[in-house]
Amino acid sequence: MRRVAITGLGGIAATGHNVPTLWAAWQAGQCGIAEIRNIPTERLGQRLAAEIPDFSAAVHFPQRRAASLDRVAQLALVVAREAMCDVAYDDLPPGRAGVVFAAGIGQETFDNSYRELYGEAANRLHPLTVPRIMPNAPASQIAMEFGLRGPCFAVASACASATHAIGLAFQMIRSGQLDLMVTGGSDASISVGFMKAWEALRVLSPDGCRPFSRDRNGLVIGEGAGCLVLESYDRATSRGAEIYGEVLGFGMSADASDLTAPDAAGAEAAMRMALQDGGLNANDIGYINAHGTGTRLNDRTETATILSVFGAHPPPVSSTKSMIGHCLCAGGALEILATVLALRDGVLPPTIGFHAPDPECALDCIPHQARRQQVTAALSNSFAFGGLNAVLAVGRA
Amino acid sequence: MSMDAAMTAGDTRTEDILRIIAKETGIDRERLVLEATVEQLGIASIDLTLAVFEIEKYFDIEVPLLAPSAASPAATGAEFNTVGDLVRHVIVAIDRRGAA
Repeated sequence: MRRVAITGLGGIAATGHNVPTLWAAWQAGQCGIAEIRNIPTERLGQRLAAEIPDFSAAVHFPQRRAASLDRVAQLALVVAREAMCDVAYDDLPPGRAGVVFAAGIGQETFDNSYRELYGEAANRLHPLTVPRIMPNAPASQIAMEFGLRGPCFAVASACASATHAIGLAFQMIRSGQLDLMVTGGSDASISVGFMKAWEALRVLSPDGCRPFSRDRNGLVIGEGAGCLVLESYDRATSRGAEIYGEVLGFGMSADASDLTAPDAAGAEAAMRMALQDGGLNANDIGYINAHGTGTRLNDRTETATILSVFGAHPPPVSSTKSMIGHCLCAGGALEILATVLALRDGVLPPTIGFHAPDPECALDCIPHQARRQQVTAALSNSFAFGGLNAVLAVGRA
Repeated sequence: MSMDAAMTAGDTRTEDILRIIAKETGIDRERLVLEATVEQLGIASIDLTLAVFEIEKYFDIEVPLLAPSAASPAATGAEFNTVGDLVRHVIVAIDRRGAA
């Protein structure tokens, strides 16, 4: 089986419009969570989110192109362009390069069109409503942008979507089916309708995201996108590409039990599978980027899972969500990005918002400040509603 | 006024329709002669759909057209191969609204 190199990185979230600024913000422990500004908040009970400030489609797209793209696809294209900026692929035969991306519903378009239809009694909706809303829009737009004619599809597994997408892209290159894949996820769900739906689940924090902290009280929704370019290791070295890291293993499982409550056994199966798939032992792992949502139940269950897999002395664990919120379908992509950069630079990003240890979360969660520590391999966890678990193992280049 | 007379150059409705088509499709107004076919002009189906949407909004009408990609024109009874066909359908819809 072939080795799989990471040769392109792209990212955008509340604390940065590109990888260098995001990485600097993560190392600095900068918080991107604030009062919502981009949508009307009168009807919202919870008014915190991690929005991307000052994102202007007009900076990135001509007006006609922008009109065909929901914000979710705009973000996807922005990160794909960043990831592909120094990737050479013209030499590949058609069909040897493709896209697997998290499904990204055009929430802004969805919300606006239903408001027009039901709230304002509009008789017709914009003709681009469907192409903007369709969950494969980010994947399709990326394929169109770069003329990639290989497999292209969207993966829907809620908050594990991007991790599943990256895992599938990894497997397709490792097996020799393809030579290059653009993969990751994008999410732009901060709309009034969607926020009301999250409110109804009663999992949103009224005052911040504090993963693993004793006083944590829920998650905060974020928006953003992350992109990786995966390439066969041999091809990457032969073309002299900069290699940011290596995907080593991928594990996935289903809890097949509760709809929204996590299950330690299911998560543990996925973590163990990722290790085994990558030919890794638990003591090879020097860092875990947690799912770490900041809900009481997730963090407690994830801790139990990690202790079960790693024993009494697990590696340091941190939650990127403490800084950029829960970016849902994009979360796994941004978090693997943080993990790859941590390995590359030997800096483990912190968990911010941590106030007091919780006996039920007895982990070293790298509170407050980034830590300089060389690590050769790491895991990134994503656990989704619906009981879907996905874990990636990555190694330093 | 006969349909042909309505479509002659200088009719303000025809001019408005052609102006909207030019804007939405990015095709030069000069190339939008009534005989030109959608295929000759290379108009993407989604652009044509956008043009019809804007025309409907502008005249406050409904044009009973399916996108060319959706069904055979014969089945819809609303054939439009040329720019002139589209203009004719729009003018019929405007007149129908006026008569209502």
